[in-house]
Formats: sequence, C-alpha cells, structure tokens
Amino acid sequence: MTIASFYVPRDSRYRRLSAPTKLMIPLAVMTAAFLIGQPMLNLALVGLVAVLLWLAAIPRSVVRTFASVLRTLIPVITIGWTIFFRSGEVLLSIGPVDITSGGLYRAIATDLRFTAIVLAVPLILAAMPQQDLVAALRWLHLPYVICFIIALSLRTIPTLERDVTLIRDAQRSRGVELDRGGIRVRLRGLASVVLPLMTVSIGRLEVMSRVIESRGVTARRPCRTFYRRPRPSRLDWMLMLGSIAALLGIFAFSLTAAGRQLLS
Amino acid sequence: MRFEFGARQIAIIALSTALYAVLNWFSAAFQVVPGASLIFPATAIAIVMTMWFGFWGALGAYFGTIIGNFAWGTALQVGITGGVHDMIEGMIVAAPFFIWALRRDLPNVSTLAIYVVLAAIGTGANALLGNLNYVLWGVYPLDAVVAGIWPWWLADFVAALVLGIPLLRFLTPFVQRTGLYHQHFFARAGYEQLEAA
Repeated sequence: MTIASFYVPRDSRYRRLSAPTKLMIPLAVMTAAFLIGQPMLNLALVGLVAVLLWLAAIPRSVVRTFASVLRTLIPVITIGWTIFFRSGEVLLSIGPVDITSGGLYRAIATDLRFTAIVLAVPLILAAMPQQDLVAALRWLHLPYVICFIIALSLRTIPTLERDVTLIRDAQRSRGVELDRGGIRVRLRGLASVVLPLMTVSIGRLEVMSRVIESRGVTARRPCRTFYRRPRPSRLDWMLMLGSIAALLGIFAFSLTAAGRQLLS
Repeated sequence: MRFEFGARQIAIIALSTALYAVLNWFSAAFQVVPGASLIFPATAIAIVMTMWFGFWGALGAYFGTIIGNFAWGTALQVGITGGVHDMIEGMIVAAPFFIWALRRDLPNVSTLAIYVVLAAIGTGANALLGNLNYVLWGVYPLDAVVAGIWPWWLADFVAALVLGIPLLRFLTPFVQRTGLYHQHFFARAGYEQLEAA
C-alpha cells in the first residue's frame, strides 16, 4: 500500500467535513501529543484518535498499515528511553544496564505519544483525496508554488512506483536476483533498479518542466481560478477554532507549575 | 549570485521529492533490526540530485522527507525539522563541487576521493543532526544519540557509495545533455547565457 492508495471513499459525518477541518483536527492531535508527557493522558489521546478513526470510517487495512510502523518505532523508543535515561529508583540491573522507574515511565509515555501520532496520520491521508489535501493547504494560505510542488510530487509518486515495478520485472526476467541472496547480491540488485529508474525520471523531467511552463504556473502576473475551493460550514469553523483553542489551552496550561506537574 | 527559479526548478523539486519519498520506502527491505537499516537509498538521491541541480535538488530532499516520512506515520512536525538535515547532507557533498568547479561525473581518482570524503562528512553531519532532531521531538533521550549515530551514518554512507557513485559516473553525462543540468548552485547558467537564451 502506498501514499496514493490510502484514500478509500466512504460516507460518514466526519468525511463530510471540509478539507481544512479534516487537516486541522489530526494536526492539533499530533501537536497536543507533543505537549503531553503523561502516560494516562497520552492513552486518552490514543483513545480520541481511535474514536476519530471510527467516525471517519477509515478501513482497518489502512489503519493496520500505519500501525505496522509501530512495530519498528516502539522497540526503538522503548530501548532508547529505558537503557539511556536514568532517573528514579533502579528497577532492574542487567550487567552495566540499569532500568530505572523514570526511564520506564518516559518509555511508556513516548510509546503512547507516538502511537497517537502514527494512528492520526490516516485521518489525513485516508479521509480525503490528494486534491482535497492540497486544497486545504492552499486554503490555509500556504504559497501556491509550494502547494503545486506538493501536488505534483504526490501525483508523481504512483508513476515512479509503476516504473519501479516495471524495472524490477524487467531485471528479474534477465535473471537479476532482487529479493534473495546475500547483502552484496541485494545491493547490486538495488543499483540495477535505481539506475534505470533515474534514467527514466530524468527523461520525464524535461517534459514536466515544459508542461509547467506552458500552463503558466510560473507566470509573473497569474490570473488563477480554482475548480473547487473548500467552503467550511459553521460546524467546520467551530471544530477548527475549538481545536486551536484546545491546543492553546494545553500549551498555556503546560507553562504553569500545575500543568508541568500534570502533563509531564 | 546567479539565481533562477522557474518551471525547470519546480519540476526538479517535485521529481526529487517523489524520488526521495519512493526510495525512502526501499530502506525497509534492508532492515537488519527494527529501526536500523543497512542502507538508506534515499540519501543517494539527495546527494546526486543536489550535485546535478544544486539547491533545487536539495529542496526536493526536504519535501521528500516530509512527504515520505509522513506516509510512514511520522509526525509532520518531525519531518519539517528533519528535512533540513537531509537537505544539508546533500549540500555538504555538492557545495565544494560547485565552488571549485569540479567535474561531477567523478572521472578521476582525485574527484572520486573528494566525493568519498565529502560523503563521509555529509552523512556524518546528517546522522548527528538527525539524531538531535529525534531528541528534540522526544523520540529518544540525548544519551542515546551516541548509539544512534553509527547505524544512521553507516546506512547513509553505504547508500552514498553504492548508489551515489554509479549514478554520478554513469548518468551525469546524460543529465548534462539535457537543459536541466545546473552549472551554478542556484541557476543553470551564468547571467550572460541566461540573457542570450
């Protein structure tokens, strides 16, 4: 599954929200996760994300794809915090390694924090098509050129993936071993895919630049019109402003003594 | 300073971004233990695109980090700051080639040696800054940086050698024949040539 295939059209109340709202809610959750270092609150955030995923009718297969990232991330975080962070009483000693209560606490909090963050990503990528994502970025006044670059990149990724599949099949048909063998064989196999991929891509680059020029993207005085602009409803405004207010509230609270004690 | 930003540069940034994002996913095939990959192929793209297209290729690495990492479930915030060191990595390797007008197809031992040394420095800087970025966002504590640098540096350096060298040697003449090759860090040609064009 790739970035191009995350979006699955479904109907739900969450999906009917405007694109900027569907962008801002997960971003607010991700930012809030960074402000909160308390395991129970991070767990609550994971619960909130789970509810949002259910409301957004995100397919389980998509959620599972993102959750698989945690198989790599959680061991790294857990090892990093439990082994390298020493604070509080020693719970376990294995040779030179001391596992402390502070390190374990931090590991659990960070694991839950990144669980919330990772699971919030499909709320953006799977709840709206790429066009809506770019339209939302434009609505948030991101410069047009940057929006265009992001849109063009997102459109190019599936093309490159098709190229990779074609090249791999072509190389396999020539007897090049790509999936088996030792590390040297696999590295050679990687080079035999990347070199043709780059050759094809560079060839395409000239055509792309001519198309961009002919469409007047870089025109000095552009007179742009948009096929579809996001039109947030009253509910959208309430949710967006509510997200921002909640985030500012958490941030302000985290600066106070009580907040530091409760949130970290 | 010569500066050019138009359709070609936009296309270069977009393609570099897409290539970086796609090759970012390749590293999963070379994971030896969770979180540590033997090679990170996207590094070669960052370096090679910066060598060919200057700053605009490096900018592709920046956007590629954000998009590629985000699609892998990394927070947008981590990618926004993380893209900077991926951009710096390519620039450390490419900048001396632009400043000293060295041949970028690495035709002799001296240019090859310069490339290898710069790749070691660039990937090392990236590994250090990348780990510090993770510390900044709380992925792991500061004390873990020393342990985290080595696998990161190794994965990037292997990619810079195994993929970067053949790409530069075999494809630089091909890229030079196109109208995209950048003679200068921010522009394809000097003012005189640009005006003549």
